[in-house]
Amino acid sequence: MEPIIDITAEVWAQSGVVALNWKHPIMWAIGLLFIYLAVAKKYEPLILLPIGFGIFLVNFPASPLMGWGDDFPDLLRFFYHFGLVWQILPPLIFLGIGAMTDFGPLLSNPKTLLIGAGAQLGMPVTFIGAIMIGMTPAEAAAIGIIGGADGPTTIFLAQQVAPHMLGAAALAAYSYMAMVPIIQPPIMRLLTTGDERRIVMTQTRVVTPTEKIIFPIILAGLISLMVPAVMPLIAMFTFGNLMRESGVVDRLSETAQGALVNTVTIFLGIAVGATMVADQFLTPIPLFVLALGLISFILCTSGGILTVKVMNLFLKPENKINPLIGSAGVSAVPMAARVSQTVGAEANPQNFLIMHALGPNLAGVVATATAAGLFLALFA
Amino acid sequence: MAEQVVKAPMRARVIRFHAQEGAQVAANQKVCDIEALKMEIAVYSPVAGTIKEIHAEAGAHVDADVPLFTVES
Repeated sequence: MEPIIDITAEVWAQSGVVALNWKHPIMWAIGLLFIYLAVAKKYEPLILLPIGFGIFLVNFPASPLMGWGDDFPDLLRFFYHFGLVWQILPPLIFLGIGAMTDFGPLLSNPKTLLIGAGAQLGMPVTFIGAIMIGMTPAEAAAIGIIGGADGPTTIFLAQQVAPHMLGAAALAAYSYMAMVPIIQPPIMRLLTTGDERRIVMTQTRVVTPTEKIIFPIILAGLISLMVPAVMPLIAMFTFGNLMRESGVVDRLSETAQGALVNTVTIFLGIAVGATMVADQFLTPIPLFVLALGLISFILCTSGGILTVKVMNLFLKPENKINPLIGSAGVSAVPMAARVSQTVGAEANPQNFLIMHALGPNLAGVVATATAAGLFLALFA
Repeated sequence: MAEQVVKAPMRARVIRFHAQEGAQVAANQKVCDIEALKMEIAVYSPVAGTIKEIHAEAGAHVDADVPLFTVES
C-alpha cells in the first residue's frame, strides 16, 4: 500500500496543479481574451491568436516550455531565444513586408515623406513623459515606439532595450494597429474642418519601374549611413522590395511575401506570447505600457494631420493636401490608409484618398524604423 | 444634355454595378463598387441623370483613369 501512496504523492508533486497560484488564472484569462479578440472580433488574428495561445501555454508553471533544460532551451524558449534575442524574426517579417510593398504612391508624391516624419510626434513626447513618471530612458523608448503602430519594429526595439517589456509593448502595438479604425476617426474629425476634409487631391503621377528598382537601393544606402542601428530591419525590408520590383525573381518574392512571412509570423507570435509569464507580467508596468502607448499613438496620429495642415500653409490652392491622409503617417499599412479613405468619403463621396494616403503610410514605416534606430543607437 | 464620364480613381478591380444602362440616378448615388488594397470603395454618380453607358465589367481589373460609366444629365 505504501509504495502506491508514495507513487501517488510523487505524481501529485510533479503535476502542474501544485505549482499553480492565483496569478496563473489571471494570465489564462488574458491569453483567452486575446484569442477571443482574434477569433470573434478579427483583431489582428494572424498575430494576436499565436500571442494569446502563447500566453495561455506558458502560464502552466510545470510545463517545460520556457525554461532551460540541462543543455538546451525548452521549445518556446528556443523560439524566443533564437528568434527574438538573436533578432532573426522581426527582420524576416520585414523581408516579407518589403516584398509586399509598392512604393509607387510614396515615390509619386515625395512630399508625403514629411507627413510620415511628422506622424512620429508621439514618440519624443511620450518618451519624455515616461521618463518624467519614473521610467528609465530605455523603457521610455520601448513605450514611445508603440505610437508608430508597427509591430515588428516595436518588438525589435523592445527586445534590445527593455526585454522585460517586450510582451506588453508588442501587445499594445498590435492592439492599437487593430483598433486604428476605432481610435483614429474621432481624432481626424476633431483636428480638421469640413472644408479641409473635402479637399480633392489631384491624381499622382505614374512611377516608372526603374525608379522603383533604384529606390530600395538608395534607401538601404541612406539608412546605413544615417541610422545604421536599424539596418537589420531595413536591410531585409529593402531586399524584399528589390526582389519584388526587379521582376526577375518572382519565385523568391512570392515566397518572401507568402510562405516565409506566414511561417515567421507563427513563431514570432507564439514566442512573444511566451514571454508573458505571470510573475513578470502581473506588475503595474504593462498598464503603463498600454496607457502611454495609446497616448503615443494618438499623438502620432495627430502629428501627421497637423503636419499636413502646416504644409498646406505653403502650398498653392490647387496643390493642397487633404489633412485626412496625415493620420496614415503611422505605420499600420494599409489599415490607416483605408481609414483616410472612409473618413474622406464621408465628407465628399467624390473623393478618393486611399492611394494618396498610402504615401504617408509607407513613409511612416520607414520613419518608425528610423526612430527605432535612433533609440537603439542611444540606449541599446 | 451633358455627358460625364466617370473614371476609375485608381488601379482596382470592379466588383459590381448597382445601376444598369438607362437607369435614373441621383447625384451622389452609388453606381458601382471597386476594390483596391482589399478595401471595397463606392463610386458615386457626380450628377443626377441617366446611366448612358457602362464601360467595365464586374470582375475586371482596371487601371486608373479607365472609364467606368457615363452619366447623362
